Amino acid sequence: MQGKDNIEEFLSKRLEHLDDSTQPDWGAFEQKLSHAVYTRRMKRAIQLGTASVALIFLFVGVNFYERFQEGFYIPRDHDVVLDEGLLQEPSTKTTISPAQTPANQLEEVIASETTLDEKQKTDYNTSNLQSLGKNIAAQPFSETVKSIVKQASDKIMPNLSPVQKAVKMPQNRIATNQQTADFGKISTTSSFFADNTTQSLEETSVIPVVRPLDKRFELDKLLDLSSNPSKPLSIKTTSSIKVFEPESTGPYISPLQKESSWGYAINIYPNFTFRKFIVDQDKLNLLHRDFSDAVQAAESGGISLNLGFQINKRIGPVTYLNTGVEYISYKTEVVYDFVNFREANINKSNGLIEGYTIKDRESIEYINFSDDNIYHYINFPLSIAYRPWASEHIRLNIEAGGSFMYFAGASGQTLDFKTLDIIDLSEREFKNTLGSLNFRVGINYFVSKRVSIGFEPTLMYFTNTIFTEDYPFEVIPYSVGLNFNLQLALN
Amino acid sequence: MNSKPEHIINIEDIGSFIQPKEFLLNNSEQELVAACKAGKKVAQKRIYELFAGKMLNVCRRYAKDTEQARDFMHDGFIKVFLNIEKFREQSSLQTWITRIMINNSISAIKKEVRRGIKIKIEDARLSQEEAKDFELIEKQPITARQVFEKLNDLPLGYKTVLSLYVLDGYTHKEIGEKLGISEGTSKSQLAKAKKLLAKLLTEAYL
Repeated sequence: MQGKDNIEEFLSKRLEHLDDSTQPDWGAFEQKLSHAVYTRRMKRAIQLGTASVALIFLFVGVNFYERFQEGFYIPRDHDVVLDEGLLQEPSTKTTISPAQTPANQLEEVIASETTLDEKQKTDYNTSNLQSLGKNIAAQPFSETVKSIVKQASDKIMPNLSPVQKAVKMPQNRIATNQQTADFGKISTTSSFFADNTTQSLEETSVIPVVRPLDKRFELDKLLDLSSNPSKPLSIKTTSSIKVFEPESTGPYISPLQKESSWGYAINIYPNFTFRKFIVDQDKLNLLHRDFSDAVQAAESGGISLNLGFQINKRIGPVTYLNTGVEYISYKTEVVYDFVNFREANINKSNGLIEGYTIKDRESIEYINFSDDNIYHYINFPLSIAYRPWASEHIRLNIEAGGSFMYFAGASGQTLDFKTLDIIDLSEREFKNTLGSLNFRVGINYFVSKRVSIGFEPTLMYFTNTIFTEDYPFEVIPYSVGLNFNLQLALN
Repeated sequence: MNSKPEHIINIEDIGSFIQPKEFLLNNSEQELVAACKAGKKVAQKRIYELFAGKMLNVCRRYAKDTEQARDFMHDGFIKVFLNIEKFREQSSLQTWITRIMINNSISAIKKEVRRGIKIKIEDARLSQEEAKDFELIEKQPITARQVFEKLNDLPLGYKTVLSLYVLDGYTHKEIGEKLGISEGTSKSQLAKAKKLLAKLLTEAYL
């Protein structure tokens, strides 16, 4: 390799003394430098500002979320039971003690206390609490009772209307059974069960059970029953509203579920796909043989960026119909690295390769080519989503459906399959439409009521490809993908 | 209280009665760097004036033409001045600036170099006749400028690999990483570049 060494040495020596007498153009450079410094300062200011705004939003958002989380979900189609914890003062039960009650009222309470007969006492067990509740609810309340209960109610929820008092519930206190007690239910303090001998209504408390919104039992309505003074009821007002969680008979309704059956959202997600290419044995005369192995290794995967508007309609308790429109930009990097040592003999009349001529030594080429090929699609998906499980922030999503994709164009360069010339993708013909069936199972994490992040492995089956008949590869129609979805709900 | 080392003179203290350029001409590289880190325009100007010529030649090895080389150099110097605080003085300032110029130029042309490399795989070694011709060339009074012009006549991919390997001392592995090509591709490009350059010089000056 004498020549090699000589050339390197020659170059090093000769270029070592290359004159560098170029006049420095500081003036022109200074302008660029000033602009760059200004741009960098602006970028830093913007970054700092963005971070500050994000922190402020985060702070405000967290506070907003905490303060109004009970409004996060408006119950619908389910029984709602007022909650003990909601009405209780922070650490004490809302018991109205004699000291707090006017003397005359207290006397009235004592005088009008009603005890149940022995038979009723023996019937006090968990199974017949419901009927007891009916009995008690059917009893008119005395003015005293009304006063006591109302005091407790007003003390705890002073700013709410009766309807709000009945409805305002924290999201984790929602009962779902449609077969809740009709009207009212009795709850007891622990002493009620501990000491059967002293069972009395003094140790019971009324737990109003609220039916669905249209049949809602309101607290004030309960109080109005006392207009009939015939048989006042004494209440030791542990006057609480207790969570009622009967046996579930239907699917669990997520607290994340919206009130409206229609939903609109913007989705942004990258999708990583893995595809496999196989040379179509019937189309060997459309593909240069030197190229076949290289292209299979080159286009096996890609990443797409999806940006879409989604509309969904709830069609069942936890079932949704999804549709919308998406823009998909699918990018794949082609890297070809192979030796081209034969020339394809192409029949000019039909464009098929009829044979090969081995190149002479001077003409053999080493081809090393790479470029980003980007394909653009407009996608119209239609799918059914089933959401069988959710917690306060996480939701399981199982989705199946199909999509119709319109091929909008491609950019980048690649090699011609037959001639191995570098061509622009815009020169290649593609079909305009593409269909697919897809199935995905994923988890969505709700950062807030409107924003969620999803992680969804996806399996897609393509009904056809965008490639025309002269595409020499058999595209395996299955594609495995992984979505990282950012969804912003618009309602 | 100034936290600078004692041997570094505050330009603002003497700038009123000594012309900055005169002052800086007599200061060491270390003082220049310190002044530059302090954001002194005069120091930046001096560094630019000291190295612009050399760096333009570095950039010309990787640019298509002088205009593009000048842009590369300007961008490179902007990076130098925006990142001067990262200069740890473990190498000479010229070496550090040269690395920035090369990296900046390579990142600008990388895609173009990678795209569409089709190399004729002939025997990259010079034939006996070509080797004899080249020995004669070595004895010719060919100037550096003339050699550089022929280097610039090489295709971009050849020129880049040849410059990185022969003139800037990178290994094939490093070149492969920088350009996103295989080590083998780097080797074959280098061989082809040298052969083509020898042919161009022979044709022109023999």
